[in-house]
This record gives sequence, C-alpha cells and structure tokens, in this order.
Amino acid sequence: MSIYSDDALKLVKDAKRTAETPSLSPYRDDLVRNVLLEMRHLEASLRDILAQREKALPEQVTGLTAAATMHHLALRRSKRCLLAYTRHRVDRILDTLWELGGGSGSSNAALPADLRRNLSSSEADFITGYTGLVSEYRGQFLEVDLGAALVPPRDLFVEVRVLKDCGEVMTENGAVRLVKNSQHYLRRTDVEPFITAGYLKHIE
Amino acid sequence: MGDEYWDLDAILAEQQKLPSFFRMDVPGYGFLEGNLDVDLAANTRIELPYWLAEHLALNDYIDLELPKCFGHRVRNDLNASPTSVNLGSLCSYYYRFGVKIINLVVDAMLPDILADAFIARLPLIMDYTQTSRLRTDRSEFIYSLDETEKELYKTGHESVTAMAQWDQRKAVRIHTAEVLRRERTM
Repeated sequence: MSIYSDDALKLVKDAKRTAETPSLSPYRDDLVRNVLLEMRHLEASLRDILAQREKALPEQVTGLTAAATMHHLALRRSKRCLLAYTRHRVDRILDTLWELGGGSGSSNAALPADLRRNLSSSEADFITGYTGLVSEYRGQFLEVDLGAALVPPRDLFVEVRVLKDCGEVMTENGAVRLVKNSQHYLRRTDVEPFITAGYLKHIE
Repeated sequence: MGDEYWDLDAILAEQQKLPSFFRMDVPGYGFLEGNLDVDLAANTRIELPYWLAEHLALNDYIDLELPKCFGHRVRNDLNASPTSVNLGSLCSYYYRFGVKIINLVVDAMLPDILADAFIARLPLIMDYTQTSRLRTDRSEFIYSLDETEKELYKTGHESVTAMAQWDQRKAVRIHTAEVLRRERTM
C-alpha cells in the first residue's frame, strides 16, 4: 500500500515526462481534482487525530503526534507538487507566447489549436490577461519591437520562400503578393513575424 | 529547500525511499504495511519516501537504514570500476538523493564515494557527447546514467549540435516557432 500524495506525484511525473515535447501536454484535471480531494480528506483526519490526542493517554501521545506529522507532511507535499506542476506549465506557456512574438496584441487566437485544447480554463484566462499586459507595455516602446526573433541580424534583407499563401502584405516599399512557392528578397523587419508564424521560410 | 521548491527533479528525487523503523506504534498508519485497519506497530521495517523520512528522522520518530543502492556491494562496484555501474537502474536520482541522505544518515565514507564516482564517470560522458557524430552505439552506457548525468549528457550533446549549426550558418536564420513546426509537417 502506498503512501499519500501519489496522484500529486503523477502530476510532477507527467510534467517531467513531457518537458521535452514541442507542445504542452493536456491539463490533468482529473488528477488535480483527486489531489485536492485527498488533501481535504487529509485535513479532516488531521483534525480528528489532533482531537484524539487531547484526550489520549500519555503513552499514546507520541504515536498520535507521529501520525499527525505524517498527515501534515503529506499535505505539504501535495501542495508543493500542485504548485510545481502549475508553475511548470505557466513557464512553458510563457515561452511559447514569446516564441510566437510576445503575443503581439494576439490573444488565444494566435496559439496553435492543439495547444489551446490542452489548456485549463484558468490557463486560458492567464494568457488573455498576460498578453493584455504585454501589449500595454509594448505600447510604450513603439520604435522597438520587443517581440522580434532573438536571432542577431546579419543583413537588412533576407531571402524567403512562401510556404503558405499570405495574400497581399504591406512592406516599407509598398505591397507584395506572397503566393505559395514563390521566392522573395525582402526587408528582414517586414517578414520576421511571418517566418516565426510558419508562413515563410528563411533561406540562405 | 530554497530554489529547489519548484524544481521537478528535486521533487522526484525526494520520492526515493529509505528503509525506516518507527520507534513507537502509529495509530491509523497500518496501511503502510498492507493492513488497512490496524495501527502500525513499532519497529516494523517500512520504506518511506525521503519527504516523509527527513522530518520524522530529524525529530526522532524513526530510525533509518541506508538504502541498498548506497550499500557495500554498490560501493565495492563503484570502487572497482565506476564507469560500469548502472546507476540509472539502482536509483534514477543517485547523486541528488545521495547528497540529501548525507545530512540524515551518518556515514563518513559516503560523500567521498559519491564525489569519486561522479568525477570518474564525468570524462566519459563528456567524451561521448563530443563524438556523438561518429554514431557508435553507446545506448548501454547512456542507460546506466542517473538523471543528473543524463542532463549533462543532453547539455553536451546540444552544445555540439549548436556548434555544428553555427558552422553551417544556420544560427543566423530565423526559425519557425517550435510549437508550429509539428503542425506544418502534418
């Protein structure tokens, strides 16, 4: 028979196992709920044990104290696992948002569909709130693009091939039609967001 | 604890079990032994995870025994040939767990044994990461690494790949965000 906090551990294992996958794994609502249930149960029986201890015989007190301590430790352990799981996911969500250009005014809509499906509702709320804050902050630096790719620029212009039709795109030198499989030599700053979003491919 | 609180690896390392003996009967905890409705009797041998054992041992509720993976047999093996011991199968967090145990179980030898084993195995890990392009089969060695060593192996491997990409001027290209890459190939 195993000890308490088993489901909490499963959450951490889940996070660890999927830490290297490109996309976030589904939110384990079932496990989270089990952990919370177990924690409530632990809390109730912890109160029972403490009440028993009040009226216990002196030779029983240490045993009851040990039991109470273990309950308490299991509660703390579960809490830690839950928090670590949540934070690990939030960190990954933030990484993804910045990889996609710092959520430039785009809320959930810009996230790939399979990622959005794997979010819990509070995580979706978090993204909306966070991107709101980011775009407010970015509004103060209009001359710097805080969401630009973290690749040091070497040339002003880059050669790109179109992977998906983008229709007409406004650049500093007027409009360009980006039709699938065509190749263009364009200003880096104009096309960068399209490359990160997977519409264009940067070729040498 | 400090920064470790949020660390997934630290949480998993603290799940490793230690053989423990309670000094008193513990009411309601018979389930640790497999008896659901019985109290746990004193001096029964049970395996407790580190996150329970640490506090209980420091407050003298339990006595601890050294886990088998730090026992004499493994020590002798590590002394004889550090690189051929399969640490991964003994305990996936061998070093991290070992470092935690040092504070709980008095053992003058253990710190040196851990450090020596780590130092002896490190050059081989480093070697293998730098020559991974030769594509010789090292799976047996890699399976024998513990998590800390695997992490080092991965870091070494990634740095070699990054170096190769820089060589081919790939590093200056802008890339599609990783989350989207899989979608595109579908």
